[in-house]
Amino acid sequence: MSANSWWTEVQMGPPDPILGVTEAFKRDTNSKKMNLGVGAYRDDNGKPYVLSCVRKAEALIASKMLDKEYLPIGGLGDFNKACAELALGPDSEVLKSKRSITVQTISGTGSLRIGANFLSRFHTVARDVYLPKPSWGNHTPIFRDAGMQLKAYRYYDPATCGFDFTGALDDVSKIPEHSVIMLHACAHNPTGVDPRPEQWKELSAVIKKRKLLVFFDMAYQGFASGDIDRDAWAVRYFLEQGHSVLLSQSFAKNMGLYGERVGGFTVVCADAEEAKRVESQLKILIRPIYSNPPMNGARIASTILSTPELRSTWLEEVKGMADRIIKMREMLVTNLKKEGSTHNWQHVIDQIGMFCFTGLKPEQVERLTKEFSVYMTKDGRISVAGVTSGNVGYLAHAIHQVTK
Amino acid sequence: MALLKSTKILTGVGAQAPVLAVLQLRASSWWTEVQMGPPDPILGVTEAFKRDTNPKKMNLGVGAYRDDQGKPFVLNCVRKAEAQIAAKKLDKEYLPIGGMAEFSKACAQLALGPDNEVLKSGRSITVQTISGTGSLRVGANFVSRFHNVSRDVYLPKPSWGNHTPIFRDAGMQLKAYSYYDPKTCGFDFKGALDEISKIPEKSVIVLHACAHNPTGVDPRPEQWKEMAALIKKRNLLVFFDMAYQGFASGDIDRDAWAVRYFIEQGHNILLSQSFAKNMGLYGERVGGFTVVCKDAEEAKRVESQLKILIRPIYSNPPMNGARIASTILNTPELYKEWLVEVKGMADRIIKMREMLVSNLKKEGSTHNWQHVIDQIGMFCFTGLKPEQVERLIKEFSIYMTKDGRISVAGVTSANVGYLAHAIHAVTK
Repeated sequence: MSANSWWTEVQMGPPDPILGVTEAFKRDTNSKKMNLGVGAYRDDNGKPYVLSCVRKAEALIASKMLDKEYLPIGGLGDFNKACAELALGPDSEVLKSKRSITVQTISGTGSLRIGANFLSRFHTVARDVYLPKPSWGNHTPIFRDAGMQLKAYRYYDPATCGFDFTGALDDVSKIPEHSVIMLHACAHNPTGVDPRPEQWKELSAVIKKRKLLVFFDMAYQGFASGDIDRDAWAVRYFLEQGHSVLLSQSFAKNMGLYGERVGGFTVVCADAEEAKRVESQLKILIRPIYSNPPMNGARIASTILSTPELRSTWLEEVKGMADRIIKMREMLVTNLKKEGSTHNWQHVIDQIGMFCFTGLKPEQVERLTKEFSVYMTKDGRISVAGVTSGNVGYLAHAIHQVTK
Repeated sequence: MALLKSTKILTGVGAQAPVLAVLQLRASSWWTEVQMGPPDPILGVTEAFKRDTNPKKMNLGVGAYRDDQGKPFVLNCVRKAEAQIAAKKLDKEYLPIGGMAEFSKACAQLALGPDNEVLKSGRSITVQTISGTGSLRVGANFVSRFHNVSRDVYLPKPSWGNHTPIFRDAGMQLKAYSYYDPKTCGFDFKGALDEISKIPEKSVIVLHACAHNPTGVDPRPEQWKEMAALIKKRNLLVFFDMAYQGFASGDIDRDAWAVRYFIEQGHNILLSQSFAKNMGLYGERVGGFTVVCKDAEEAKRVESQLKILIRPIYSNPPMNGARIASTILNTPELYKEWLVEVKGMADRIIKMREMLVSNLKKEGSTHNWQHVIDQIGMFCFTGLKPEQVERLIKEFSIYMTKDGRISVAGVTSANVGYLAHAIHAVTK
């Protein structure tokens, strides 16, 4: 038997940087080791956390003995409605006038890709998508594989470990009209740096003046501040200001539904008639990618959002997760001071969400890994979710050692 | 191009107050040029069915299995697997990009057979996908990116409607080879061989492993053998679509025979699998995509590129359905139960085919309905013409697609008599 080969020219792809961190972590035998690369929430014992409202929703669903028939191409209707309401608020004029369409997607990535494909096919006046610098690593291949061109606008200021507001306004004011601009709605990934409300207002005005198409990525609603309305403020403000946005939502983090792949993609249109046209084209786009989305996670999310007791429990639990992250940030800074560090660590507290751009340099990161078995990505980003009251002291000690 | 259009929307109360002029919302429009897409033909059938008030109405457009009461069927082994999984209180952490390893392994073993040389040598890679469509699309994207020697994908004529946009949206060109013979309602073997013999080298050829959709017409083993030889001679890249393993004949090894034969003959195939029908996991979206390579080293390279391709589409696949399928495939008692249940579904379909033909004879039909029994799987190309289909819908409330395709899954022992009566009425 001769085994012919079609794939001789296929190269081995570059290793995944974050995966490399986790693999090195697994091999490390140091009992004090810490994995701060993990992009998933951990409880104060360092364990994955399945929300109790999720368990309850699952029990409710199981007791109904539902069938497993295909969902519609655009997903579970009840889920889509609740998903849009969560983001836009129940009194949203957009929802009342039915001038938006929300489809269920394969979590945040699936939502972004559908949006990217939709732009590529229908936003023919511009090929450029402007990402903040830096942005989530996967944004680039998502838009590129969909046929768009990637550009960037200034965002993070390494000098302050904060928002480069002047730089952002300057760059945004020069973006060619009709380009797509990606905004992280809250808890910017990977920096944790978010604009303040008054800064969002100025950004909105410049973006409107430049006639840019706004694409919001909201992967952390509720998970950032602990308050779902506060985290959605920027999205709602932009809508009030007349921007007809694209919006990606994920329930991976705020409902801990990571592997169930639950998300939504919304297009805000001029009116209900346009929303119908857009919906028909979204379905035509989705059908040859995966036909219809997975049911399980959407049933869970929908049950939680539309069952009052479960929804209240969820709001408490998501606040609990956000509060623990905030507390770890505070404890880290307190412990760094106790260690005697004279550096300004205020950014650790000012930044928000799962990630923190520590400001550590590559050499310092390497020492942390080699000498202390504390693992993070080379850019100095840590997942605060990997910090516990049990290890925050060790982390502070280690960071102080490499920065004093 | 007039791109932005401002639409004034009045909000709130007191529209007479002058200050409201400032507060009027102007909703910009980016999508003025977006056309309403054509209505989905099959959806149209279902919607017309729903509106029909005739108590004898039948929906033969449905692409999902129904039991003998016409109800959706969740397999027992699936319920048991779900209970087992729920008891374990597993977390919901992300799966790897390529999916659940135990699932992918079992998925490949199911298709290839557990003793397959390909699996033993580690020279294939299987990734978990979003059911059959997701698998085909990952494959189409992979071929588009890495199979640079050809852009052409040859589909059988006819093929599943969604194959065309899947490959087209992935950047490939669609062509066709002769397959269905409307004169015999069977396989146009000569026509297929003739056209395949002319396909340019290194083109991709899609083959339905079993239970061809939409015709139900499958090649016989000796015909598959000739096709394999010719395809090897033409040096074509084979892409098998196997959405019905077990569901076609009731025997999972028999339904996978063509796939296994091609591999034995040295074809390094691409393979899409779906568990939507054979495990009834439709909405859970469970499938696999396999690339058979030259050796394990090549399989590793291909795996790395599949992950790079998948990550910006959906990052990692949904866990629930894969956990169910994996539990069933890897738990001996559940696996046995599954084989019995899938055979049960296949047997009911086969029985309905036989009952339809015997009822047609009882009605006095003199047409040759042998093809209804010879065809296999969920669908049957009746040979009915569009005018006859229209009469079935209008006069008898029996709904099917215009091409005369019926879903045998929608036939029950209670309504097969009515169906035969109606078909006879429009064909006598």
